[in-house]
Amino acid sequence: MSVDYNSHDLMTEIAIGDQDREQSNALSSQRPATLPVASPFGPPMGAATSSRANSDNTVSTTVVSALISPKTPIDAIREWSLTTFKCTKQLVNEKLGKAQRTVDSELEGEINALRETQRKYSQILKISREMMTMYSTLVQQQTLLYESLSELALKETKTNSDRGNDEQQSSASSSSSTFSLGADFRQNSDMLRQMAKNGEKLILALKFFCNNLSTLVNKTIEDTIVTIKAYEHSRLEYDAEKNSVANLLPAQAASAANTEKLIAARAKYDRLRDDVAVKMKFLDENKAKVMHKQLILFHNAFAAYASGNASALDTTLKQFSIKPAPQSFLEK
Amino acid sequence: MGLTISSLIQRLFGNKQVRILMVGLDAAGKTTILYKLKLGEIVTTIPTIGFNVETVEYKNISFTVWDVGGQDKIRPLWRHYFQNTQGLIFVVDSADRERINEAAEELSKMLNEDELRDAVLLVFANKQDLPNAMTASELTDKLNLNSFRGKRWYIQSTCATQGQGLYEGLDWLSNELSKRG
Repeated sequence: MSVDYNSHDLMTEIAIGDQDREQSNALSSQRPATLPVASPFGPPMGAATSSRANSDNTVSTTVVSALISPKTPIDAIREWSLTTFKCTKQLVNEKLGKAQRTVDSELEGEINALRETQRKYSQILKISREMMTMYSTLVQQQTLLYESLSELALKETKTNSDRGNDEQQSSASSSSSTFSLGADFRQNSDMLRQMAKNGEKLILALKFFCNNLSTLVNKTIEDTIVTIKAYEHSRLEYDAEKNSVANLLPAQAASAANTEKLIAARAKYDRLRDDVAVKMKFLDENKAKVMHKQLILFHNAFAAYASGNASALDTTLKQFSIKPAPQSFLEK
Repeated sequence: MGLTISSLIQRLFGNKQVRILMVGLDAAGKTTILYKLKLGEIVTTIPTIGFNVETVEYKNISFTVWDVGGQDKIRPLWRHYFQNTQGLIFVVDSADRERINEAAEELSKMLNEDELRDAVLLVFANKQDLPNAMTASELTDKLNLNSFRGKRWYIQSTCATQGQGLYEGLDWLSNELSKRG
């Protein structure tokens, strides 16, 4: 039974390939027979341009689609439910391992790699954000500590100088030991102040890094993922059409409506596959460019911070044009 | 349930997310505009092969600006970035009188695309500092902007290197897009 099914399927596929070549030109000016509901990203580009090129700019799409496919809403709904039913059936059959699916193993491997990359990058983003929070807590503590220390330093110096005046004659040695406490406090508070200042700069750099990484993960890569999802849906639609035609009797399968649908699905699938391939290539270049820059920033900022090199930290911030966010009017 | 609440909070208090596509002929100044908006500085740019994406926060709106290279060989690739675009920025070199017709052609070709029919159009008449630069009204004429009926558009004369007009353009975009809700 299954052998029969497969061979039948293969035969139709070859036949479709031939028809496809012949009719692809004729068909590219037609709209696929699916509702936008089934294809969330609108009709194919080629069809849309050619059909809309002559039509007036202001004509709304509903009118255009009505002109192309003379259908009542009932027909449209029937069409849509038929497509949805076919797709669902195909999906279930694929999950059960009963139906064949078109596989572009090379592209699918790349898609999986991209999804993996997105996952990994968002993990890096999450950790960097957590680290940024920790560093800002650290800087807050340092600020608090240096404020208390400088307060104490002031107090010590003051009391000591008061006492020093009183006891100047009584004991020179004891007063000199208490005098140094104020200086010790000051020294520590100055050091902490410097550290907090550098820490703030590091946080600026980290924030810049996180923002850019977030743009890459949540916008740039996500955009390609959206296209990939459309591609996967078109693949399902195409396979559903193909298998439904394969299950029909040869006489029915040859009917114009069925082959037309199948070729439209095929065209959409091919177009989206090319789109995905192009976008992945572009994305790869963009990813390399952005990450290279961001990783240099990350490295330079951390190296400068860790070695306590304040001027190198400043240079790094300047090199990447990172500026502190404008203060709120309350702080001014 | 939790998702509903978080999306509600995002709607009420979070930044509005807007996707902007910035295109135009090569050497119009798209990348310069992008980084002027992002960093507030003029960076030295090389012709963009591929694209740049930056998120620009302005007036509590988070603009994700896609800057796609404008060389004629890669112009067919613009369409890959049309999906979900809410605002289209078309950058024109106002001093380049020779290629203004080419720019007009590209613009009208793009506006016929189905995926961009809901996007608002902002034209940046860039390089206004150059001598012999065309004015905004001259460009409106040359680009046939008045023929785009049913399209919301706005032309803003800018000078990216001095940062003039860029934020006025974003103001218009944010107003238009918040009208839509």
